[in-house]
Amino acid sequence: MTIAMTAFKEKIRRKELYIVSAIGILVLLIFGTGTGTLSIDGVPITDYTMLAPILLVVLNALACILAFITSFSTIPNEYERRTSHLVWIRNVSQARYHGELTLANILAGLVSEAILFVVLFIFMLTNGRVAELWRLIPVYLIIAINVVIVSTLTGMLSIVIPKTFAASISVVATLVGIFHGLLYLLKDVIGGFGGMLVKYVLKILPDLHSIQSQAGNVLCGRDFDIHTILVGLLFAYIFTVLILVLKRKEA
Amino acid sequence: MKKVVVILVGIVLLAGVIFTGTYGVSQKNIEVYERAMEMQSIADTIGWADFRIADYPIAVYDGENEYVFTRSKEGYDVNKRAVTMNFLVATAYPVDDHFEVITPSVEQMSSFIGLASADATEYGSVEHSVTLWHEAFHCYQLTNYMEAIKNICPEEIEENTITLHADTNKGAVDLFKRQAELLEAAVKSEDIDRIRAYVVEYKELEEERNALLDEKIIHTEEYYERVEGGAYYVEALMHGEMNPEKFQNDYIGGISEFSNGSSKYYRTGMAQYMIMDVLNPGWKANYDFSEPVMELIYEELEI
Repeated sequence: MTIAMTAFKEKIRRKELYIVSAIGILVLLIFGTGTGTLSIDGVPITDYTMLAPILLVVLNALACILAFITSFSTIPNEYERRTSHLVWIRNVSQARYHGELTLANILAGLVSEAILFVVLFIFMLTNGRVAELWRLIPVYLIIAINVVIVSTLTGMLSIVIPKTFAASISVVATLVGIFHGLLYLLKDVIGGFGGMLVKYVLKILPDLHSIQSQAGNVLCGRDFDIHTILVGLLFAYIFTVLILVLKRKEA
Repeated sequence: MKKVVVILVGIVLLAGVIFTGTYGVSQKNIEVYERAMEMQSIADTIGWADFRIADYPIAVYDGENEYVFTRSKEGYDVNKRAVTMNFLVATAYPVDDHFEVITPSVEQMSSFIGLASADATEYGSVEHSVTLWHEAFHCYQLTNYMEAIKNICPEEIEENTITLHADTNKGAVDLFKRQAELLEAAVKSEDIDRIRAYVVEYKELEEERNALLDEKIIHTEEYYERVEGGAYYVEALMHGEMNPEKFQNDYIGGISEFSNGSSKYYRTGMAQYMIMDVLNPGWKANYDFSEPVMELIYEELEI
């Protein structure tokens, strides 16, 4: 665990994590306080049950983006700085090395998510939802699945393909995941080959939107779909196993 | 040992995914269909004696496959078939020699409306059951009164006719807004004399407004009011039984709401059906959609 803790400490010392988190908090505050009032047909959305799920959509997107930011360069940088060689001479396997670095990424992503959740906590308090505050725990854990998916996917890709290329694919996969619901509906509007392409891309990429929707259901006290959560966990599991199995050539 | 644990975790997760997955049409869509069938008792009180939702197959598109619910001796059957239309729209559609309700699944509709309005809680099983009734009424209209409906608007019916012409004619828009207010007031009123006063003013404005618009626009508006207004009226009464508050606020309270496009005629058309219900409760027994509902109102009030 030494590698993971060292990498994690390095991450939480970095300024960009806090800068992006601060921007995220600002965005969430704008939505949550009505400063940037959302409206439908000119009618402002101020009702908690309408605003809370929207806040969660924004929070999920920010948490996923932060998970990507904390993950995309970790493994490639280790190899670029030759830190990896210091590890090899201590007989640490690649699986353990990559696994611990990914663990550090995940922990940093979860810390970022926790920072963002402070806004949701305040939002619930100011809306008099004290009795429902306990829901933040399962909601946090469900959104954490997305954070783990993004971290592991990004880490896994950065092991096998060049940094920039891996980062690009991760960004696209994350955005597709966040907008999965919208794209799934759009595939029928697009139609033809494009629609079919979108359909198959959506099939192989994790549906971060649906997982976040389940968090929204929990937050609002509605039933949630366990299948969606299990599928998310399966994706996280597959990416994690691949991180442990895949090997980098230059090592 | 570690490898065994990792493999076991994978097996458990995979089993969980398989076990909790939905195969075939989802339970939620089955519930929607069954609820819609149970709502026949509400429809029986509306006045179209031969309007039965079970007469029309209901095809549900879930984004991948289409499942058709059809009436059978035991109740109903569900069969998978090739997708008829993979659009996100609920509609009445001709299939072979009959009309069917073609609709996205309740999950698809809920997602779509959630994305469009940022509030997925508004559209659920109840709302989707009512949507089935709306479309089933179109099936009923097209099955039994096709000729009369075709004659309402001999020209091609295009939404553009409304958005580009009716909605951009300021004089016509102002008059329409006032007419819609009069219809809403008439629906809310229980006094025949007051209804008559509202309708008299409505008729004067109608003549004034018709002089501002081309025939094609007037025909298109009439089509929406008579055909869509009728289906919206059925939809409203269904909601009225299950959610009186929504009925009062959204349907009755929304009659005078103006919006660009055809949806405003759904509301004014519905209002006309409701006014006729007050003036002549049994009127629908002989109604064949060949006459504007407003004309029937004028006849009833001898205006």
